[in-house]
Amino acid sequence: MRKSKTQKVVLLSMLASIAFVLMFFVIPMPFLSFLKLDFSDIPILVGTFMYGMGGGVVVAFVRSLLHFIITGGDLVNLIGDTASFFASLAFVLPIYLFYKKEKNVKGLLKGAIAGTLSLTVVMSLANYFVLTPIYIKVLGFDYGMPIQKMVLFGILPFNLIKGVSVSVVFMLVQGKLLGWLNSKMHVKEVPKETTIKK
Amino acid sequence: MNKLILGRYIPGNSIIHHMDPRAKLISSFYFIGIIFLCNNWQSYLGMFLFTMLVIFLSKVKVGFFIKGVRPLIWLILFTVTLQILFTSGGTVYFHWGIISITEFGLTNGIFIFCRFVLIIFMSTLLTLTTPPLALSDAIESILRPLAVIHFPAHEVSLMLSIALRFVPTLMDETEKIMNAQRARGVDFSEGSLIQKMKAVIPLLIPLFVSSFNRAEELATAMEARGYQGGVGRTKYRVLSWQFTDTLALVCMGVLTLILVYLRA
Repeated sequence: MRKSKTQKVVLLSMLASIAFVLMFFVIPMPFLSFLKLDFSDIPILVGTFMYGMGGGVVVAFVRSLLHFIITGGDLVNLIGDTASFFASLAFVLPIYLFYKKEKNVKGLLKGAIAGTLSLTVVMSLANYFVLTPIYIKVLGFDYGMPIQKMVLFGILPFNLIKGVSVSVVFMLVQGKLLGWLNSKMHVKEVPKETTIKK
Repeated sequence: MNKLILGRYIPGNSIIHHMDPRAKLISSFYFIGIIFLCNNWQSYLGMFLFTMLVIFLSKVKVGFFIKGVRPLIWLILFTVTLQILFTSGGTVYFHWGIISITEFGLTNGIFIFCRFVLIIFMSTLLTLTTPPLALSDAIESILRPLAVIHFPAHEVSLMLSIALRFVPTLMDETEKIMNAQRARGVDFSEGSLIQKMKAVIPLLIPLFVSSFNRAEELATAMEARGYQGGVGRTKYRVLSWQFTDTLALVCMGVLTLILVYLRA
């Protein structure tokens, strides 16, 4: 198997790069325009499925760091970038854990449900207890409505929709993609004897 | 799309440009931290003068900073208006229904406006005077002590450099794929949520495939050149901590003392 560390590092950085690019391919939600749906979790999922949990965490971390750096170390963005890092983990890890236990479509489906729920719960709690208070504290940012109302009618349905749509897209993509990737990674295996030509 | 991401670095030749990115990153974080110490006009004035001094030293035109505020201006005005209209206390200047403009409301509004603008000015300064690569070097160097708790600082920084280098390439690639799919009749901007989601798939698969091919080539090239990460690897760009950097941190310390003295 040709699976060097360099290859792993390069592949994961490429995934982080894709994730970053996909952050700009956003679909704004119909009513709350500051909530934007993006598919940057898909490369993180791919990274997790290829290299385990560590892979996913690293891709998510580098993606968020990349966003922070490219927007020029903008400190206002730091809050959002940290939040998006934890959101991605909350979504991706349950999917992987369920899939690891049951490696078929059923496991994936269960994982997708668990991931969506965990994303929704984590982000609602985070918004209620941490993020919104920080935004209000740091910037005097005001959504113009009470936090409870915003979480209940904005964050909660948004994360449900996000979880479901990202899962659907991932399921459609993964069958073809992961198969192709794995064949690409493993078939190229060269028997030891032939590598040294005499 | 491309305008958004390539950073807003403006090359220049000033003290601020020549500072170590680590010092810049740390000081601007610190600045945001201590701005919360301000609670009267004297302390805000102090911070304002300091910011103006730093902007003057950076030799970047003030217009660029004002441009940095522009995308957020409505948000700021909205917040400030809310503050002015609904804070009570002090002398009442104007009263109508539940709306009343009071002394406290007005001062609070002005203070929040100042805080907003100063924070944006300071982070814009970091953006304008530091190229993204320098920032990533700085972050690597700041993260390095975390290697003690087995945080892969070297790998993360390598990944950061590779990813930074490939972002523009992948952006072009995405554009190209989108155009190719548009030519085949895919509509990326119209339609319901579900239709938009469907349009993402013909974008994702080619993007993954092409970037994996690229990744493989890069990995092979690196291995062929005998790449080895980790201990003992030297760097092409070496960060050097100079006297001005220490001076900047000392200035931050002095600024804190002045603030503590000025605040009510």
